Amino acid sequence: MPRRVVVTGMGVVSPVGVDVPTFWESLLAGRSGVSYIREFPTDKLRSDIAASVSDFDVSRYMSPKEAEVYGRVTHFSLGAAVEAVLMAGLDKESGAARSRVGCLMSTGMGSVDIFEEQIARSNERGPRAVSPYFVPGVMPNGAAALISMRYGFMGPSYSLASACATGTHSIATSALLIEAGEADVMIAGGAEAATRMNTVAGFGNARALSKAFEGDPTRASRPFDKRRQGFVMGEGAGVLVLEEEEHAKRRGAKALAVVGGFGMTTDAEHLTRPHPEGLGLALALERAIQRAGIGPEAIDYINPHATSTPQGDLAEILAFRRVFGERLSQIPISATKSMIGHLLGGAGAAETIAVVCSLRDQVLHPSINVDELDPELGALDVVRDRRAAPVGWAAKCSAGFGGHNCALVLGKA
Amino acid sequence: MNQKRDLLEMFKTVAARVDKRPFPNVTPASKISELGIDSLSVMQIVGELETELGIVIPDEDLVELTTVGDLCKKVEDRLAAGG
Repeated sequence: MPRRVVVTGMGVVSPVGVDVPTFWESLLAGRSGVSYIREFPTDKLRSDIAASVSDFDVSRYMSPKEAEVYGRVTHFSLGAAVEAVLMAGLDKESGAARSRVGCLMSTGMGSVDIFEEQIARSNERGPRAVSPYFVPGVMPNGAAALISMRYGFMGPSYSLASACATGTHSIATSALLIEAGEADVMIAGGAEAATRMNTVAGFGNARALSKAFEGDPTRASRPFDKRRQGFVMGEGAGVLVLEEEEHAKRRGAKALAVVGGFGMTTDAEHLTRPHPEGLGLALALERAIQRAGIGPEAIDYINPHATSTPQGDLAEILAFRRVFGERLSQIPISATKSMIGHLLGGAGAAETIAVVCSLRDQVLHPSINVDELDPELGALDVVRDRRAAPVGWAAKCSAGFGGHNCALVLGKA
Repeated sequence: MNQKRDLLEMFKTVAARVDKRPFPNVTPASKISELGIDSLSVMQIVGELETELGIVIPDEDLVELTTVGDLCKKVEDRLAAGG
């Protein structure tokens, strides 16, 4: 009998709120966090919109010196982790207990802002002008190290990268570490703050980005809609505290949800395009369901990856149909990305928090901007308005450049 | 104002910029290791001084530096040597 893993804490930094209560309230209200980019000129770019975090105060979490050394992605990571640790009550635990807490805090792209700044510095003033903090400032594991140091967590800590599946892989791998007995508690999350001129240019030139839809940025992120154009870059972080069930009970921590199962696969087919029939994602989802000890018929809600690219959405729905068959049309689906945009390495983690909130409150958030469901996707129950629904088991799917797939099955606590 | 005094003030200005806090009480006798500045920040301060003054302080010279005065003297020597 494997050790059972539960969620005991959550923290989020998002374009629609920088704490879990605000984030969840915004999602239920169908509030979009997408607007025009103001941080840099966009006249030569293919897209001029993004979902940015506007109300995050880094000085609440680190000194001015630390804030300068680390990139925005690390600021968000620490902010979300502090909220999650406090919710789980881990700050009250003894030093001995903290030796069995690990941290898997990841990012898909790392500190793009620091790279841009220091390379510009080197180009302008020569390599001697490059900060000695350049390397520790950009290393993707910086946030995991910082969180571990902040709380004296001495379990395994590192970061992993699987592009837009990064956050989900962090959660799945953390659950695996707990099951295997390598840690009793894991701080698991993903973050991204990559809305910089060069990344918007790169994704834009790859023709993956949406533009303001009919002049309105809030309508631009529209997964599963017939007129979807691609994703909107988002930024933020999601962190979950995962914990072995008996360990949580012993210290009186409240379980918010159960991590029933997870599945991790690879398309092994193309670097950026998903498998056209969603084969890899279907295998990941099947594995997650099997590992949870249930069947596909037990899944009551799906929170999809939902890139909102024409190919990505279609491949994902084909994957679901492969797993659920005709019953897919009766399973509610809602895309968190319709409101927060695509958090890339942070997406899976922030979206999993939405799933945990649904399991906790038995309510589903809407998927906005579905004016006309793409008929090519077939019959689907896309949630258009906030909906009360009994949710026993929910599935969360993510897919990333590289053909990396990760699926989670989470259950009501 | 002599050059020694100028360099001390410059050190304090650069240190404050790098470490995001003022250094009002630093004197030439202050030990660098006792200023509460992380070793990477010390390297950043040296780098900023080098860039601003257009000099290069060889790495082997850095290990000999104990006090802020030693650093100012080294900078002065490099300036006198023309970089």
